Amino acid sequence: MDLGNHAGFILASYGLSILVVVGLFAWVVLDGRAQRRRLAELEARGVHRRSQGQSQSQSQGMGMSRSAQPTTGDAR
Amino acid sequence: MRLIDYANPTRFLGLVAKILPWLAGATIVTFAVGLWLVFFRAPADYQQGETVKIMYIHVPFAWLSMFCYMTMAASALGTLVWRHPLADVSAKCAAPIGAAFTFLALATGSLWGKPMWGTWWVWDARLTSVLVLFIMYLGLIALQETIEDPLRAAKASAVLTLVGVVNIPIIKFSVDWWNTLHQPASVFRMGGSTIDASMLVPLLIMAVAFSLLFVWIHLMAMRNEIIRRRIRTMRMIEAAGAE
Repeated sequence: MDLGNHAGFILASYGLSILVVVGLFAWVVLDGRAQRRRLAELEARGVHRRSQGQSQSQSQGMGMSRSAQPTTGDAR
Repeated sequence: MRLIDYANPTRFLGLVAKILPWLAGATIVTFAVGLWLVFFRAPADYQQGETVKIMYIHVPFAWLSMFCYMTMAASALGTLVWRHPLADVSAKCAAPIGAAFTFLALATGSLWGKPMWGTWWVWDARLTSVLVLFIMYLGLIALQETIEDPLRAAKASAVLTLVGVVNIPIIKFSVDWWNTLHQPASVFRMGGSTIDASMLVPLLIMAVAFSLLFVWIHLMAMRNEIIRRRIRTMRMIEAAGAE
């Protein structure tokens, strides 16, 4: 495959694109692993979200009502 | 199930877990087909020669830089009007991806411009308005990171995002409104595309591949952000319990 006189510009374009996209992808994957590890550590310490606590309370017959609007921090 | 039902983050995470493997497969296959067409089937341009191969990544990056911003604008509306719990998560997670794609649109454009125009950069309307878009992405990321309260950060960045939408038609029509080195629209235009099918098909396949990549990374980042906010809530509960 002959990329002609401007092969350097073509290879630099594709190389830079691969570098940035792979870097972005790796950042998201590593961040995901870190967040899941932190979540697991908190759960191992017995910390639960309110909704989880309420679910447990309800299952124990305490009948606490759930909040009407779910949020990303307190998801049902 | 209605769309609004996915406002529930736990249900959304379940959906994401099901979609991601299929999305990953579709992205990889589409990229493989697209790159094969670009490097082994698409002809050289009669004027630009093989340098036209930069078009197959530059144009999708440019399209996605605007598409990503419109995704953020739609999410901003979701935050301000409907207070959708995932709208802010979507906007926040799209910003770094949009910034990366806009940077690559500028960089690959510059690497294409040097051999074709004889210059790395000109301060014309198209290039400058895309540079403004890149700076806006960086500003939105900075704003989201600066305000600690997620609700306040969401509202402030949503307002700024909607104000910035004015730049999108400027980018799109800059080549028609002002005299510029940049070529006018050649794919989506009145009267049809001016690109031959042998180049248009690989270009559109690469655009689909990058769009799938955007959705893939965006959904993974949204999943991370939901978990991050859960951790924040749990730490606050833990701290309150310790007092």
